[in-house]
Amino acid sequence: MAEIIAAVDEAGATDVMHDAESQLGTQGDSGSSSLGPFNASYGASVFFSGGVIDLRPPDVIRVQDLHMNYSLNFTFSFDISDIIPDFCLPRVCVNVPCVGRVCTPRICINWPTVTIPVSYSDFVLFTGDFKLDIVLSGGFWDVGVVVVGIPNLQISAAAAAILILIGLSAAAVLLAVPFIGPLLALVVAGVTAAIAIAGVTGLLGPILTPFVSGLRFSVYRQPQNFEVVPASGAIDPAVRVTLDAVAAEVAHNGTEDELVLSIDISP
Amino acid sequence: MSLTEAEHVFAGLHEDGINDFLTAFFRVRRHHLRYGSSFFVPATNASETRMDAIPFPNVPGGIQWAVEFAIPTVDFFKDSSGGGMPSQLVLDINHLSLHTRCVISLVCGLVRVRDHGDDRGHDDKPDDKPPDRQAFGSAHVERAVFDVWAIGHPVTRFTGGGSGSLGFAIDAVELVDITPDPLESLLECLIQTLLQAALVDVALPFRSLRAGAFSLTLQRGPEIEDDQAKVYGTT
Repeated sequence: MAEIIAAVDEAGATDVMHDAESQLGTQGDSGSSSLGPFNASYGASVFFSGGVIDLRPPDVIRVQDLHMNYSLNFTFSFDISDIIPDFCLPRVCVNVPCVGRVCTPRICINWPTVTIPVSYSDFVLFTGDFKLDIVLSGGFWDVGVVVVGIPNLQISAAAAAILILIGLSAAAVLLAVPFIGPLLALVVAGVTAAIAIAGVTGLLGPILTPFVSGLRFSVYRQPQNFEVVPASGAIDPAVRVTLDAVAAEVAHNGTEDELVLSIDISP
Repeated sequence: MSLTEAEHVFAGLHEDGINDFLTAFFRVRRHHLRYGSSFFVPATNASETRMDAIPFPNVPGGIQWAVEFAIPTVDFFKDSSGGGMPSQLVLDINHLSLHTRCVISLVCGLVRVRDHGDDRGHDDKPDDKPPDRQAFGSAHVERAVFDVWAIGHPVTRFTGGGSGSLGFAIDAVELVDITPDPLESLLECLIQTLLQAALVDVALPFRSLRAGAFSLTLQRGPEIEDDQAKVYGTT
């Protein structure tokens, strides 16, 4: 029998999981990608919360309805000329009595490139199967749960919302462009049509999927040189033991499924 | 039956684990097991605790004494001593047995004999100076070694919020093969008092019982059975 056994049931494991989510904290990433025909640069931050543990012996920890909360800040730029062709007012000449021939200059409208910032925060629920992962590294025992495979992220609703947001943001930016007022609806429609939901989904997928691919939550982390009793004076130094071995399993005991840690120590 | 039973978190410390904890504890805090007056312990340090000699008239410096316990071995219910525990003791559920060795030492022969030529006794006051090891003279040290078995139970000290520590209380001590019976009873009384006092400062935080695994707000326990100290709680 192991010298120390610690166990939690599914309710306790759910609490442990929530602690692990807090310890993992907020993850961030940035980069650039294509958004339909346009280029987009993005910054993304993600943190996890919620979820309910379903322990499945012998080695699966299923986390149901895990919230992946994300915030996206991305900017994409496009050339209005991609939507509305540039045009020129031709040179016009007239003969004016007593003055002679008068010509207007050729006037060309070259539509500018505009940059549209979009911020969006939301969460996506997913369910994933995790397996136990035990490592001794850097003098610490770490028992974690690691996601198996890549959970499917349902981001279509978010994509639709972001597309609408892009349209609204584009309208706000385009209002500042001279002469375009009458064409605004046309340009916005052109932009959103060029991006389309598939375009946003294609952007969100590569941004958000890496946060769940290889996702690992630490449920136990202690130094191998474990402090049993803290120091309490010059002649009462800290008392330590060595954690020689740490094992973890999902066990079916009686009527319950439990996450069980077994630890052997030496003085 | 599940480990957590009606609670959500369980921690069980096997008797091998508590003995590793006690070994670790007393290796660095040996002074909780070694006590003596100045002849035996010149100064308190992590290894030993200096105590006063026992004052007594006409004993220079008082009676010099020392008590030392070996690192105790704990056996949680059920009895795993293999028949080693004296039959006078019974190990019940929620109790533990404790086995150690006790060495009691005394300096003998330090009685002052009144003599008109003794130039140290003009004022008839007892000499408070402890005996010098070099001036030990005809005095000598007597040592007795006792094999000590005890029965005890866990004691919890709560610090609030479901946290606290685990200690031990001694209920009975049995010395083997001491006669006559009154002497045995006297020594058992003495050693139980000393052993209990020595163990008062041994307190293992609940967190240590589970090696830091999970969080546990104590709801039940510690309960001693199946060679383990078990605690139950919520996260």
